[in-house]
Amino acid sequence: MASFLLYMNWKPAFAIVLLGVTLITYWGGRILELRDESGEISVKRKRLVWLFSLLGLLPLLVFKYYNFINDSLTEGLAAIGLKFSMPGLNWAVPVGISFFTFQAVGYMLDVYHGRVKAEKNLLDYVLFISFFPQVTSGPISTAEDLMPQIKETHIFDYEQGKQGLKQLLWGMFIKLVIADRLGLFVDTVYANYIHYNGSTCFLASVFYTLQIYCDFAGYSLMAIGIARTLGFNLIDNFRRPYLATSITDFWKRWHISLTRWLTRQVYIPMGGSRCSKPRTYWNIFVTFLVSGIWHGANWTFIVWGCMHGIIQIIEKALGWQKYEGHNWAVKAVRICITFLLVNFAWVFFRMPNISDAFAMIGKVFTDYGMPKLTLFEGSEWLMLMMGLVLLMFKDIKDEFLSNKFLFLNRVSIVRWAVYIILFCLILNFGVFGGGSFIYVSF
Amino acid sequence: MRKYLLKILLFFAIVVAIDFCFGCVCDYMVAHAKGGSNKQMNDLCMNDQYDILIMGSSRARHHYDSRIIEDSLGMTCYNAGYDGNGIILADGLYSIISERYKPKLIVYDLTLGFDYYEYSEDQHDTRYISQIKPYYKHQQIQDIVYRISQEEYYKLASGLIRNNCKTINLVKENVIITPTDDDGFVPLKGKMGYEPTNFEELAANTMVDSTKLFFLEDFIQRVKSDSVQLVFAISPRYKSSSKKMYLELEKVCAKNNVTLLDFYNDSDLSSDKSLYEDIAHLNEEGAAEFTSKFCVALKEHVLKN
Repeated sequence: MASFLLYMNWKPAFAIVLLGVTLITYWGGRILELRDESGEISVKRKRLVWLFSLLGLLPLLVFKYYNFINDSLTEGLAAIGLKFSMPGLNWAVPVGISFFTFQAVGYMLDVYHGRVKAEKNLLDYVLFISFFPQVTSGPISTAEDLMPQIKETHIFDYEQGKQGLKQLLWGMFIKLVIADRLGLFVDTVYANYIHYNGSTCFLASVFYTLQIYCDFAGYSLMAIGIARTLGFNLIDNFRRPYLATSITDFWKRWHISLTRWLTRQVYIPMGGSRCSKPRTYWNIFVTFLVSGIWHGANWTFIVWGCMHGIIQIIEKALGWQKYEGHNWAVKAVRICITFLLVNFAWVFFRMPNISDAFAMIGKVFTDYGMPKLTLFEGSEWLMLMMGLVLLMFKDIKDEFLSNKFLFLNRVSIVRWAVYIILFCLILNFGVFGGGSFIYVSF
Repeated sequence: MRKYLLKILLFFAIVVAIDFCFGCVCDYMVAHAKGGSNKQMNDLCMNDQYDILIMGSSRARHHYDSRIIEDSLGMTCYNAGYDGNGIILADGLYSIISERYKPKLIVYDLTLGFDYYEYSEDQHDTRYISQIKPYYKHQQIQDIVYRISQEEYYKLASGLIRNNCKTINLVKENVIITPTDDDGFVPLKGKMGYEPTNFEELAANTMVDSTKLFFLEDFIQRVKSDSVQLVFAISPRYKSSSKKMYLELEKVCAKNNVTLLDFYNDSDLSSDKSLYEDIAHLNEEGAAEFTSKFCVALKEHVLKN
């Protein structure tokens, strides 16, 4: 109930959509399980799962994709000389619709595939879908993970509470001190990229790459941290993605809960990697096409998803998916190349249309000059660099030096000093009112 | 659970103590700044006296050459325009300055987005109180902040938040003595090397900002009640197509019996690209030409008696 009320705080009407998706998938799960027990023929079950999946996805399709499909169809028909237009919808998209829809539909598909039992208690199921730390921007949980935790009685665990607050603090730091400050530079350049030279555009693209990580990982950490203080363990959504040595590796570290969903509900049902090479490549491509479409109703997201899919197919074909050697130089080069590829793809993700994305990338390679650093004052650069150095230190330490700098955790006065300094830095260097979370709009 | 809550309590107690000390240190550094914007603001608010004050946005700051005004009118003049600011900052500044002395004339340069309309949907009026936050101990400043946002008003109590993003500059201003512009005017050196495609200052359907309108009226009443002469002006903008939107501001001036000197679509100044750095800002050459013209109009319409 509390989760639902908090969701209604965004816009009460949105809660109707959330409730609708919840009820459809709840009944879908129950019916699919009943049919399973009664030994119905699989064709009928298949039809039912399609029906309930489409019903569950319908609000997402209508709210998020109707205008896109309508506009694309109209433009496509106009290109061949046919005039046809449907009225557009001027509705706001319910907050977090992609996240809760995928979580709900994912649950139903898990019931269909026999991975979980259908939930009988409606209230528990409502909490599973609308659990307030994750309803707006994930992580996308599975019933296997979260449902048993909802059912168990929670007794306060000091250690878990402490870990939760630590994650909350670090999440706030990277969101408010790093992401939102980077956003000031990024928004200025991306909105008027035509007036900036190539190096400024490139710097803005790198900043966006860092911004979206700090923004989304920051949100995820806060969500996971809050859930943990309440006694719930949510899936870790990020694992130092920009230290990945390939795009395949990147997707094992970036938005892990979405990757898991796509793997379980799209990639594996299509055959995964247990089929011919061309079929496997096709499966990878389709999975990332779905990922692109999930992110937004725009061709830019589709291009972004396709790019990630194609690069992974190339990596798979060449056997470059992972690097298990110990040569630091090779590792560093691979990390840099992966970062640049990811950075390149984010330009499409950030731009309002494909032609602008190409124009900005074109500027990077043709319009030479020094970057316009005056967009920030000296003090802003200092604050930003301090935040980025801290982020790099933490990520590199966690990735490569996990048994070093142990005094930071062991000596309580050092530990407390770190917490207090971080909190004070948030208050003094954070950008307040800098905007909402990027992924909330997905 | 008890241990957990006690530790959280201890954590916040330490943060509050640090916050208080930090606030005191920052207040001291603001008051003793040796250069930079805080020194400039301190001088304007606490030390110097001028016959004429120019107020408004960046268009005021870069368009009115104080020296030309001083030479032309024989009165001391300071350009107190601030980039990205408007009537809210001006009202706050005037309320502090007028505690100490009353200038003879205030020229306020009007800008649609800073004085009457919403600047943009995602920009809240809290952005205009950043410059006056250091003077939060003045009751008038507290009233202004409270009116704009109660949340911001309560945030003033925190030294860390009050000085958010300013600490490094404050340290710099206390360590390095940098020369400040003694007359406030900052000329722009560039020339607009392109032909703009959009000449609208604001979209025609932009909403009126009731908070700005309140402060505009408040500013007029405050200045008039001090018997200070007030002139509103609209400086030139390159080939603008938004003149109609100034009609409402003209009505406000007429209602309050305040002279308005309008150069917005001035035939000599608004179509010569070489006088502009960008569509909204005159460059040094343009500012000199405009200020001379403005002084003539000021003598003719305002100072003739």
